[in-house]
Amino acid sequence: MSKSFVFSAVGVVAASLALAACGSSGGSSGGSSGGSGGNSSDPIVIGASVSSTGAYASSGTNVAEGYQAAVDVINKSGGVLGRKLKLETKDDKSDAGTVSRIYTTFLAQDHVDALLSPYGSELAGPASQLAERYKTPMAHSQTSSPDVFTGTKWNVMAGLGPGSTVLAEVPAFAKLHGYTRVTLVNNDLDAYSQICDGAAAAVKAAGSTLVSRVTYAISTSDFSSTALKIKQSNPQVVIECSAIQDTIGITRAMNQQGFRPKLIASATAEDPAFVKSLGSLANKAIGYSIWAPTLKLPGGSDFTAAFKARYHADPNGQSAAAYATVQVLAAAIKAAGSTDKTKVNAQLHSGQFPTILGTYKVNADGVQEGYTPVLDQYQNGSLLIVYPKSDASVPAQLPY
Amino acid sequence: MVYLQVLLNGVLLGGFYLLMAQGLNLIFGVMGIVNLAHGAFIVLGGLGVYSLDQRGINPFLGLVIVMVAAAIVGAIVQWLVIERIKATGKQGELLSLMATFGLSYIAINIGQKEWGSDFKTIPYLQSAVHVGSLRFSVSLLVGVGLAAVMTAAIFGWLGHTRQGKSLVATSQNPLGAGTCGINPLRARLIGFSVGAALAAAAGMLLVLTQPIAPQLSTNYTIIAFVVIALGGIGNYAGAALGAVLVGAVQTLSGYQFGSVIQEAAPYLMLILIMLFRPNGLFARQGR
Repeated sequence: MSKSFVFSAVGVVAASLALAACGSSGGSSGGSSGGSGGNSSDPIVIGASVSSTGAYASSGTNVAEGYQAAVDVINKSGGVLGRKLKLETKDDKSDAGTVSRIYTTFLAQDHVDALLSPYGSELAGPASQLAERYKTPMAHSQTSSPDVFTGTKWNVMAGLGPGSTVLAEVPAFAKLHGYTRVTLVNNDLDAYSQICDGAAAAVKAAGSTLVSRVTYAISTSDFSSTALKIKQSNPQVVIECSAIQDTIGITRAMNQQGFRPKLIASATAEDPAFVKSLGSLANKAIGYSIWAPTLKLPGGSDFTAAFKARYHADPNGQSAAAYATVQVLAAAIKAAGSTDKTKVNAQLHSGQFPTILGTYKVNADGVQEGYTPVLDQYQNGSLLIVYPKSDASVPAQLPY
Repeated sequence: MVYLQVLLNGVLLGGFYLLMAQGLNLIFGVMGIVNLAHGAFIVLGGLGVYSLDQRGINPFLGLVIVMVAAAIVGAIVQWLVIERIKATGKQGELLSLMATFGLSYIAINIGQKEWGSDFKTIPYLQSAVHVGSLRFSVSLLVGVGLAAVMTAAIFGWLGHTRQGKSLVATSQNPLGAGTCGINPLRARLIGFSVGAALAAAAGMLLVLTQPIAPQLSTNYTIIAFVVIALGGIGNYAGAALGAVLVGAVQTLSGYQFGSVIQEAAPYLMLILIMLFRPNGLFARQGR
């Protein structure tokens, strides 16, 4: 085989990667529905792109189901300002380019009344800029990166707290159990770095010791060297600010390299794939939640019932976050007394609204300040809240 | 001692890469088909084992099932697509490259439709074997064993069986092979089937070792190309050494310089090989 054909093969593979990065070119589907147009009998139209297919299909589906469950509950109780909510969703294929096209259609052609975000900070970034350009309020459900909101006026973080708060309770929780030497592990994406930045600040605040911080490339598939680096610093606590596939790889590699910390915490432990993929290695791992049925926050039972009725399954945290986001948007419209975008946006930025996650409240940038995550732990296959003590359903089982 | 552990991790990873590359070495190196769908065969094989595991079938039994299934699919692909390409020489190779490029996209989309885009792995063989202070991942040890067995088997099949020799003869001179009584169509069908089955075997180990998803297929195709380019295309012993070299360079660079360098290492190696040793580090003469 000639050298030129090796080049050809690799060249085409590189081209395929580039094509994959560009994503599919399919446009949005569905017809033009039009916004409410101010007629008091028209439904209030809310536009959202959802990742029904592509890399974020699983999480995107959770979000779409949460949005729809909220609309069901609100409409069942009479809607908002006497008008029904109408949710317009289109599949973004987990692709940022498609997200831009969908929101441009919502805003320039359909003239929707308000927007819900796509899944995750990566896709929400371009969508948020379109919301700014068209001066239309967008409530974000799964956007944890504060960078998306910096300098914006029409975007609010409604379904999550900022990434920096996600695992910020872990150092204090670990110290309660006598573990103070902490290693942080994160991939090199901003969203995950920010989770570990928050944990690093919390390590300092707790008076614990940050013995090392290991950063790895997002494309890493073999974690043996990463695990050895963690092992070399011999921490008692390992906090993984990682995507689910990396969390699985790191946890497994640490075990194979003969290192078992006293406490292991992950930003993605709540993902069902965590326990399914790691089996016994998942037991006693710590994760976080901003919603759980046992938290008994107001409206939680309505959400669970509506979700089960429509989808015949138990809801998870992502669906709950999406549900809360619609709750916030509906409450802001109600408080504004109309669908006037400026008035609704003002309410989203200044109002405080009860949700199933707690009381919604954002800062000047639109970043969430009202929700507090709780820590949970896998105990024999079940994810149970263990911290703070006021919310704990069982005592923590440590060491890991 | 830690560097020894890092190096051994790299050797084990190399065994795993060798398993990935063997099927491609047969299809590309021996048969001359630039198979860009190789990674898709690997991933779909792994996901097939995953689905069987979900139904309570042991991954090793699943390995046998997906190898047979992949062999059948490989034969169909060869018969329906590759065999229809009538051009020969460089033009034929270019057309096979384009055809398998299209096939890889179809396979990836079928994979996403069937299994979704979420990462999947099986919690099996997660432990390690201890030798003193050194540790060896059981799943990678199994991979090295499988790679060694399959390398020996392919080497023996191509060099010492009538069927294997027929395949090599057909690849080198189809007309001449035909005049000697060899059925070229049959030989090529068997060759592509075996290559696809080997890819599926690598997929089984992959799904035990790390989370996989259809969209990663292209990455594994590239790794397989790097390994066989390093070893010398069509050179089985060279591919084994190339695989170990890629694995060791990755783990050592990852430990010393971080995972950005670790992930870039195979591609840097490919560029350097193309520039300075275009026939591979361990190339045979005369091919």
